[in-house]
Amino acid sequence: MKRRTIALIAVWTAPSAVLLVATAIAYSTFRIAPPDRLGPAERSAVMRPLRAALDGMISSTPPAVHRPLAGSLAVTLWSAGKPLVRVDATGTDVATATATAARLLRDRPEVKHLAAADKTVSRLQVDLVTGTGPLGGGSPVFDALAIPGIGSMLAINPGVEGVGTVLAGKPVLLLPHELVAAKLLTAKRPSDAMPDFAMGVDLHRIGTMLAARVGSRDDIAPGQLFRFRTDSFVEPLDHTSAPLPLYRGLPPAPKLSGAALREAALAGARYLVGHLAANGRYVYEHDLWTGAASDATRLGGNYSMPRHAGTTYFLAEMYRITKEPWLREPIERAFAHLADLMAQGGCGYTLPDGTAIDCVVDKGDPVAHLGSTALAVVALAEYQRATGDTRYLPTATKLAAFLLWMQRADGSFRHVYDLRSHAADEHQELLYYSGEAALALARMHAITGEARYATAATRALDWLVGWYDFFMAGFFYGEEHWTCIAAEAIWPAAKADKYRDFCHGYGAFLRAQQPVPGDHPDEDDYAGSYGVTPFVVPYNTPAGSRTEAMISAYLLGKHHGSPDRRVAEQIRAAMQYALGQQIRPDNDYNAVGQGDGGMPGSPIDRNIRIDYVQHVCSAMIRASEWIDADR
Amino acid sequence: MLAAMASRPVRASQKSRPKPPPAAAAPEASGRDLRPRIYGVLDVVFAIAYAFAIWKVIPNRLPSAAIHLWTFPIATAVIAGGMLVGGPRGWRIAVVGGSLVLLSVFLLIVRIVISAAFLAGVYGGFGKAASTFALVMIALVVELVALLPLVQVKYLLSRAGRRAMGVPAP
Repeated sequence: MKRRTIALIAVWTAPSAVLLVATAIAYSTFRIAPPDRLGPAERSAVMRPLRAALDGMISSTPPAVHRPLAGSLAVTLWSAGKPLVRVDATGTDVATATATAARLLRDRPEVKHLAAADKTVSRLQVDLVTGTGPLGGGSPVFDALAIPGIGSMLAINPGVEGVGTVLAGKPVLLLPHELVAAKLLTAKRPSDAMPDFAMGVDLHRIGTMLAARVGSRDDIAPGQLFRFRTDSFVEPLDHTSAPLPLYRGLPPAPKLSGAALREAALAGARYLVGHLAANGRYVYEHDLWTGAASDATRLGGNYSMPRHAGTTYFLAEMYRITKEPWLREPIERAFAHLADLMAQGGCGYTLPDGTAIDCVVDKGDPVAHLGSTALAVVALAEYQRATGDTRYLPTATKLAAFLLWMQRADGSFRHVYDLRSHAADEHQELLYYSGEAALALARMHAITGEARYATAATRALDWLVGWYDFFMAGFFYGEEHWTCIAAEAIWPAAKADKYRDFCHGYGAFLRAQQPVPGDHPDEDDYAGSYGVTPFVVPYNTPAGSRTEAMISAYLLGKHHGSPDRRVAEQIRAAMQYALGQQIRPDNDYNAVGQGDGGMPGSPIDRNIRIDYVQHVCSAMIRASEWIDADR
Repeated sequence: MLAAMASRPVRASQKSRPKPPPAAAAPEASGRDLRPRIYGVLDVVFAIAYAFAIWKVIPNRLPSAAIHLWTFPIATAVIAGGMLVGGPRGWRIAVVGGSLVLLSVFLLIVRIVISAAFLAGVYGGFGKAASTFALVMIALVVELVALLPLVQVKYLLSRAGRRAMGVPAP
């Protein structure tokens, strides 16, 4: 063979060969195989001696689980949502490590002093280390060759992997849930342009925490750290049935059904009612790791009036659908707070043509946002739909007059109103507000039957849908969930095919962001959520807010006689995901305070905000009405 | 490798054939073929564009990334120098510069692939969106950085390119 031929073959094959080899080396170096998980009987066998140890008893025979371990067996005792005790044990297999852990647990003073009643409600969690691997960001060769920052930013699979090191010959571990609790997984701000966008592990702080575990103040270099995966399980509430397998800290989700969704939505409503203060203001946020909650008695701060109104709308919707009597008083209390704010806000004004307008604004705020008023109208209208009680109609009419005044001739809206100058800002455009205003006007038409509201809502929808009339707009959609809810709400006053087509198209666009089981094998728990890539943890709220829109899109298709079954499946997938994420008795072992019914921010963000619950549970109760029948 | 492929046959041919009079051949050839000058001007424009982009549009604060990125304008400027200087020396400089750009692009692709393999290892998959994004990134790099030196080195290694630069054919 000529040298030139050899060189030509090399030119065409060598680069591909180098790339293949590089891929194989990097993948096999960093891959930790998923654990071969213990079955129910094995989990019970491991848990039994540990529970007995809480009562001071040590079994003479270790559990017959002779699987090998790739590291330690860690036992965490949860009491009142907090980790009270943690013991780590090693052994030749799971059986011997369990026996050692049981002795260590029994001898811990915190356990000895724990009251019997507290022992009964406490729950044990077991983490078996099943595999280890190196840490990106700690390997000089990899760090030099990979795209800078990848190894350290995305070093571990959050909530699934822990980080450990060996100090003085002993393994020291930060378990997956401990990394989540310490908020070390979204600790970096990679872009100055997006200060709110946080991702990436803080390896330096992880090193410091590991050193502190053994009383050291030494810095631990990332190169000394390793990743590990665990097979985790937790005791069920009754302590008698098999321990629940955990993935990213959560046990298996309830099976999707109309009844399960209805129960979950009611649990969400109970959470919100339980987090509504006497003054009618919600406890805006509740951190389940610490129990820290917003002070509802303090006005101002980061409290969002659109979210107050939206949350109250959800409670009214729940009352309309379930007629649960315990909902009515809290709804009226939340409305009373809105009325107080309107009285104090000083937004009331009479237009030159004599029309009285009013808007919702927090006390002292010099500008009013369209969305706050729009969602207040939606909530008040929903209350009237639910109860037939017209007591809030005059208020809703004044607020709706404000919305009509804020609408431009082309159907679009001004979004911000200056209270002092009584002038609308012609330039500021904010997310969601136009869709929210369209829905408010559609709802006003529903409760009054007045054509002017239907006309205004239709003009708004025509503008929102018609905005996408240029070439690039065919490739994407913005945040259009209120648009689709409004498009269905105005039916049958407006029956435009373009609304249905727009919302079905929006559904297809969203489906492309919704993983299905098997798409990302290690992240099957994300199936049904809306996210991008397997290494960005999805937020939970879009599974609710987008599903609210998809329910409207599906119903709109039904009204037109052409329901989109793919949208129905999309809704099912999202609701199954949401059921798994909601806080409920079998997964609240690590929740401080009353968190049941709440919806955390994401699988690794245990903070609950009122609108997370509102959106997800609104979708749940609406889906519960047809999900069993429409198969 | 391309530089090596180019240089070896030349040396072999120089041994076996009598050297043509370069002073007579080069001006005549370059007078007919405008491509060396066109490529040279394009190289200058691309080198300036790369430098501006790295300096102002996508500055990278990490030294290893910054060094890697700066190889593109520097090596492209080297090609430009070679093309505009002309002659056998300019030809060699241009081929080496072009090969350097291609090598640097290849290294960039290796870095992207290794990073993707790392993420697939840690997260159990890379996902359609990330795969598409990585492929688009590679396609863009090939289009914006690799295409010009690729075509140019191919031209320089051809008979026409050698003749235009006053380099004897292999």
